Amino acid sequence: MKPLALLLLPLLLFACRSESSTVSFTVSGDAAEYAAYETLVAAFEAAHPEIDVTLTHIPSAGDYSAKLVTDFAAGTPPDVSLLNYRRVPAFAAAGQMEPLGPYLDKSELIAREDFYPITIDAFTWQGDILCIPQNVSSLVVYYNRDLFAAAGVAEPADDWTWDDFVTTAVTLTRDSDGDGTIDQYGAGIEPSLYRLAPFVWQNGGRLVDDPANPTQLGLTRLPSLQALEWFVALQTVHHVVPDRTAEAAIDSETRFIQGTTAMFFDSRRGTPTFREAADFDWDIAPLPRGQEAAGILHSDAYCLSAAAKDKDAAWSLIEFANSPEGQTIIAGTGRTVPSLRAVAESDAFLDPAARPSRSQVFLDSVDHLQIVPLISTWEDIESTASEEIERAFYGDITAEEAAILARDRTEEYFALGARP
Amino acid sequence: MNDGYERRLKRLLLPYGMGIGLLFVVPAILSFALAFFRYDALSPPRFVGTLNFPLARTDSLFSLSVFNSLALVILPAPLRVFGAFLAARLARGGRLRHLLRAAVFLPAAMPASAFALAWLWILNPLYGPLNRLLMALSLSAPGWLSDAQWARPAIALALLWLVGEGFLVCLAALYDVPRDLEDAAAADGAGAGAILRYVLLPLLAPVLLLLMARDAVLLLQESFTLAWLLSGGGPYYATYTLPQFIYEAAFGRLDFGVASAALWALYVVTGLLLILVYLVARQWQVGLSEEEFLL
Repeated sequence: MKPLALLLLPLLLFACRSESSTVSFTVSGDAAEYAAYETLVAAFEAAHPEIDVTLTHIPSAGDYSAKLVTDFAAGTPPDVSLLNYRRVPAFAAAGQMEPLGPYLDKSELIAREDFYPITIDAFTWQGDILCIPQNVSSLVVYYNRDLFAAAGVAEPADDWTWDDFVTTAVTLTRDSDGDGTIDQYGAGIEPSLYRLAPFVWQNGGRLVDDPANPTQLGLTRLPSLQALEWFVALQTVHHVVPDRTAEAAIDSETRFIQGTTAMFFDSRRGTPTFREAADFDWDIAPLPRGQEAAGILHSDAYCLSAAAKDKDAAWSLIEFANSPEGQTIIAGTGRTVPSLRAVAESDAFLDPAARPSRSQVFLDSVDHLQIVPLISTWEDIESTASEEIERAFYGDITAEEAAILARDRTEEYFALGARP
Repeated sequence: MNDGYERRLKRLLLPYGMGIGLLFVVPAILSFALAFFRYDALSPPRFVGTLNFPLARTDSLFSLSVFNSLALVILPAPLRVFGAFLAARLARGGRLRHLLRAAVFLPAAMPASAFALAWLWILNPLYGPLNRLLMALSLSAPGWLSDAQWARPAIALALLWLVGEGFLVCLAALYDVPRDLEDAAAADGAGAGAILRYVLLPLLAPVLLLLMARDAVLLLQESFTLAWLLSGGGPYYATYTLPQFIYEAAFGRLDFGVASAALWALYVVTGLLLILVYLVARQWQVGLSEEEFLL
């Protein structure tokens, strides 16, 4: 009798669980990404019939951020959310995140060593792994191979430099009908701190005064300022990117898709869009190098809210999403550079049949990626500094004025920000 | 009998009264009180006296947002009211009156986001129909929403078309004006312009004044919706309004204390605007004698 009861016990527990476990899961992204997360959730639910996942999808990243902040403030956050590493410190400092290090250590599916180390660093707060990284994306140059071929310009080499980039961009900037307006731009890049950062590092500069304990922006110091000047000159001197009016009329991403901009700076995020919308041959190249090679990490992770009711069920979802099976499903959209080495180096990511053919560029650059400082007020710092960088980019103020304004206007955020 | 009717009327208003009380009055009082606390919604509020007021006032974006909000009232409000009046006069009679009425009212019935999308296209600096027209006329075509100088006028321009409700009020008021008065003026040799200026305008002045007061209050808050959708407050804060300051303080930085303090400022500005309209009315001596609607 007793052995029988013992045998039944797990079944009984299983039955109890099946009634109570629901996990809410919020993501943002376009329709293709949403479809991928639906597949992920379906696969998860098939493997864990006792857990029911409610997937919420917010198309725009800005709305996503606002909704998450409001949800956390209201005390009803999603159990699992996908967050960029620049945003996590704000939630972490407010004690809203359940550290996932202990869960990861106990996992039989995944281990810390399976991930690219920089992604783990980016989500480490006060010595604990807070969220489990989904991807190890970075900024690259998307380029229109047809336009390069038509102009007889060599495609970007793996070790091309700032000068190579400017020369290429100048050649590809054209006023084909001679009416005084540029019809084809050499390049397109968002004038923001996030885009500028890797060029600062490439020039031996620093984004902040002290990366370990930042107290102010470091753009006013010489190597950093030179990088800012070079960045701004793309518009003000070389005119290889749209000016403010042209950018407002049609933004650079749209211009790239239309085939009227030859090179566009974006992370892996651009891949699904260009696969679907661009009807020309395109590929990616690494960032052109300055004094040294450097790149910037773009990474999102699955985070668990401290307020989640059934943390074990939520963890099962996070664990599954970051298992080789889960990451393979998401990598299938083209959206991610998988953070698991094994998946990143497999055909799930390096699919030779799908564009871009140089996907290896993302993996080759992992070694010299850097991260922005982890500080709870980083979003405010970034958006404020970007306003000044944009003004310099469109010629309203000089690069130096922008650096000074950005430094002074963000000082308060550095004072208020919590650090890991 | 009359008392019973009054009582029934009040009972009828009860659900609305409760709704207004619960959804507007109570939150308004609560947010007024929040102005005296530091509160981030994640930890309990902390009483700090009047600290939030200097914090809001010394924020350079605050004064800028007040200035922009006022500009987006003063620029379009008089034009909107006068435009509604003119449109109502045109749509009072004539064969095309139904079409005209529909056309004037339509923008007000559109969802704000659809309306904004249409204006994003109209105002596109290179490919929008407005600038194409200006260029065809050999006029200079401004960058509109991408140009710090032109962004405010661009939003005011879009706001000019949202006059549906004022238009209906003017139309109703015009129907109340006895035709005899116009006929008498016409018999005395007044043309259409003179009738408009000397007969209809004075008669409708109380209504127009009321509309003006309403528009000032409305625009102070509603200009934000359009500015947010069209330019996001930019370029470089050119269309950054007080409601946006409040919204970003509260939901961007989770600083509900400063947001509430700024909310107080919004109410003060609204009050000042109403006083201004009242003073102008008293100066012109319109709308204050017989109808006494403002007092």
